[in-house]
Amino acid sequence: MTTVVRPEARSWPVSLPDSLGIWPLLAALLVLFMLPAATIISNSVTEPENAGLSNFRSVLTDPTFAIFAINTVRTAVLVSIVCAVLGYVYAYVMYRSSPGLRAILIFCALLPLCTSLLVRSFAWTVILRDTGIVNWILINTGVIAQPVGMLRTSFAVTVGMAQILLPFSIFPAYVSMARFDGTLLRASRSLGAGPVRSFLEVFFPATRVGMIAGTVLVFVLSLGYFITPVLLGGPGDQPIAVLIDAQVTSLLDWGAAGAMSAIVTFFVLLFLAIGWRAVSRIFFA
Amino acid sequence: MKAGHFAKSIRLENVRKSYGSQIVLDDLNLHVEPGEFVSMLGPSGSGKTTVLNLVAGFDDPDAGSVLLDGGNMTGIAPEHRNIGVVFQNYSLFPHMSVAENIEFPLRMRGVSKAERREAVGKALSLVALDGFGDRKPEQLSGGQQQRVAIARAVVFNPDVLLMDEPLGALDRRLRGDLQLEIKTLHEELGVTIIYVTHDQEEALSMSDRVVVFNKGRVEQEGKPREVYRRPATLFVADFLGDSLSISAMASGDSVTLRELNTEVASSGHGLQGPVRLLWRSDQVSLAGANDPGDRILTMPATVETVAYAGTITRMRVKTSTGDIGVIEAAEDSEFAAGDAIVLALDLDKASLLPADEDNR
Amino acid sequence: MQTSSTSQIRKASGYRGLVTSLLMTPILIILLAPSLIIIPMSFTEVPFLSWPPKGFSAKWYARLFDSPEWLASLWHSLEVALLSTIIAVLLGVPAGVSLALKQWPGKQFVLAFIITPLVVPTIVVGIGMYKIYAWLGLFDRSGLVAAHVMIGVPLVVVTTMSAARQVNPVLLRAARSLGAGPVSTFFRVTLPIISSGVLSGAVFAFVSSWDEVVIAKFLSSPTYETAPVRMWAQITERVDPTVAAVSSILFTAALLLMISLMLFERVRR
Repeated sequence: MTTVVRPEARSWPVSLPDSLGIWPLLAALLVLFMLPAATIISNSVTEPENAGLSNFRSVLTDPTFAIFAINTVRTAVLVSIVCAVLGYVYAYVMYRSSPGLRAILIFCALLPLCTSLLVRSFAWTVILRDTGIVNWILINTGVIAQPVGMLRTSFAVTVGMAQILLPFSIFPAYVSMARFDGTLLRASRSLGAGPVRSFLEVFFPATRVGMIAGTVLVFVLSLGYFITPVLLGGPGDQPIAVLIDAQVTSLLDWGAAGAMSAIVTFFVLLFLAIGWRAVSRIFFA
Repeated sequence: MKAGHFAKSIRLENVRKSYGSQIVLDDLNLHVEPGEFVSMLGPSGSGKTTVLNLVAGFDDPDAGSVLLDGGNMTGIAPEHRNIGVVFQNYSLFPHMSVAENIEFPLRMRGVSKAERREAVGKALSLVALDGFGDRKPEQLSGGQQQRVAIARAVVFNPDVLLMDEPLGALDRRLRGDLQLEIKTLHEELGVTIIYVTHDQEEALSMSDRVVVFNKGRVEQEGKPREVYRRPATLFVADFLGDSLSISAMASGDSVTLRELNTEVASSGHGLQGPVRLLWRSDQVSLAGANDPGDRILTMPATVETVAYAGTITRMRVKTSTGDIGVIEAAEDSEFAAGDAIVLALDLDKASLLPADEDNR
Repeated sequence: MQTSSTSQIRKASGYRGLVTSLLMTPILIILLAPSLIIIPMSFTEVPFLSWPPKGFSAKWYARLFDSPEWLASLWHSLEVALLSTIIAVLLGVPAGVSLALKQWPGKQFVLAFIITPLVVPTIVVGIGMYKIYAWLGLFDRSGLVAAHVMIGVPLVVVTTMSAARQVNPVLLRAARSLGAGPVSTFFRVTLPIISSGVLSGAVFAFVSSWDEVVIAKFLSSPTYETAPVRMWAQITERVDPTVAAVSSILFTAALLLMISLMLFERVRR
């Protein structure tokens, strides 16, 4: 050890602010995301000039808007329930599986993300229509004689959206299970609770947060869905997103579009705020 | 202790540090000689690790200064201080091999490749890991990883070496081996070492000097034997090992054991009011048949619990004065809880401490 | 006693296997069917999509590769996805590292702000960008890239953060004590350790751009269309198996990307 090389003795501190890393991103978000979003929402009171709250008044009293709003919420609730249950079950099976099987299940849950949302919705039309695969199987196995109409129903929309959003339920639930301390289950068994009681009173309460986080995400994302309801739903399944699109592309009513956007965005952010604790515990803890 | 030619002194002057409302260091003064091996001992949260962070430059004091060979270090970034740090564990870069870890500080200093290779080889043999250079940290045992971390921290000839509970995560046997190795290393390199630990045996056996921390202040500092045999406070006495202490009253030059109405002459202690007389557990013996002599105090006591500890048997006893303490008996003694015994306490060996309510 | 309880457990696990497969089969079908159905459909001989596929022919692929419009749209998709991924990584990685490893006030708020582009309905974002980007001078490629950076960057931030949280802060202190400044510490210690998180964030960002249709619909022009936008136009007008062929190509590309990511992870370990 003969090398004595001292670092350059600089007396001034080279300390960069700790928050330096986020400033470029925040600047970009502000100009490229916040500015457009805020413009649309402020259109609700500026288009036409001096609109005030008139856009909100006309949108909220418009029966068409009410119907589309009900469609949106109904679909979102159905999809959230389906995803919550199926996602939790899937995550639980993943949790209990051997590492090899678990890797396969993770792959199967990620595989849909490789297929574009558009393509998947389109694929469901091929699967569910009268001459589609499901009806072909049911007729060929003799279960039914005439094709059952499934495309352009709430069923098709729910299945199509649940398929797309399922990974958002599976992974948070799985994260909370992976964090669960397995010795607690043994402790519960040793304290006299059977497997079912142990699951209901120890495992489920401890992993519920993952289910809640996933469901919040699924619900919030469902509120803004556009492609899937258009391709798979009937007239009674069309959500507010479709109405907003129509205001802009065919009616050129930016004021109404702004008011509707403001309403949807408000509820999206509201529900996200309500569920933020669970979401941040899963994703950022 | 021989100071190496590059060893430097460290001085902390009136250092204050708080995090939020919590005061971590309260007007701290500390001096470490070039080449000295100083252990900082104390419970977690006593401020010892903060001292280390201030010296390393991970943090700056709120007030006061940290001086390296007399030069103020405040505001100098850690990478410009030339101070080696060994952390408790997992501080090796997982994506680099052992050799790459050790040459990292040399690369940062622009040392040529040939010189780096030579220095890495020497550092590896210093910690008895010749031939391990190509391994990844995860392929090493905990003890080997810490050896690499030590090699990495000394390879660039630091002015001071800081060690933050370096053996804390290792099992007892391995800890003993590495303690000896670190001591040897210190003797070979002569580097100034500040060693943080909460293990009193480790601090006593390794260091030239021990500094005991409590609540952000230095409770006592001195040579290991001094601190162990003559603790200045009950906190130090408790923290550094088992003992038996009985309460007494000091006034003027005399100390009185009230319960026994015995006056014990003792001078130069400078204490007034309630005090405690303290014996290390190995300084307490059992009264035998022979005459105890006038400097030996005999005191009846009851055995409360007995713990067999291999080389000795440790017993918790309650004296007739109501004081509770721990004493050592021979390995083969066959006492049981409830036995009545008589303790022989040598007044010349007692330490006299303030009976600080805070520390009890 | 012990034997009986053991046999009970065995019996229970037998039931569990049955229950598990009964539950999992429909979930797996729902998850996988749409992705798997497209490839066989794309090789049909007849000019409409029917089940079961009739005959076997690659003519729809041939037609695809003969169409300058389709080829241009695929090229545009690739261009936008690559550029937006690179920018999302450049913006998102420093942000994720700072959020995970540094201390500063208001983190939760900033984090929530960064996530909003993921949850605000794309239609709202799309029409907003449609209105503002032209005014900002962002058209076609630049507009699409900017938009896709916004939806890709939250994914990069989230994956970077979760990787950076695994970085022991002691390593960063160790690097500093050994003579590395903040910048070398970032490039020589932090970045190599979080590289796999960054990589998966980049793949997610790429796929999200590669897929995106709602915003792209508003920002693309007849001269600069991405593949999903062109597909959307085709699907809503008339469906021929060319769309299935494009879908199969998009699927295969994304699938290969993800498999190579997984293999890369395995090799690293």
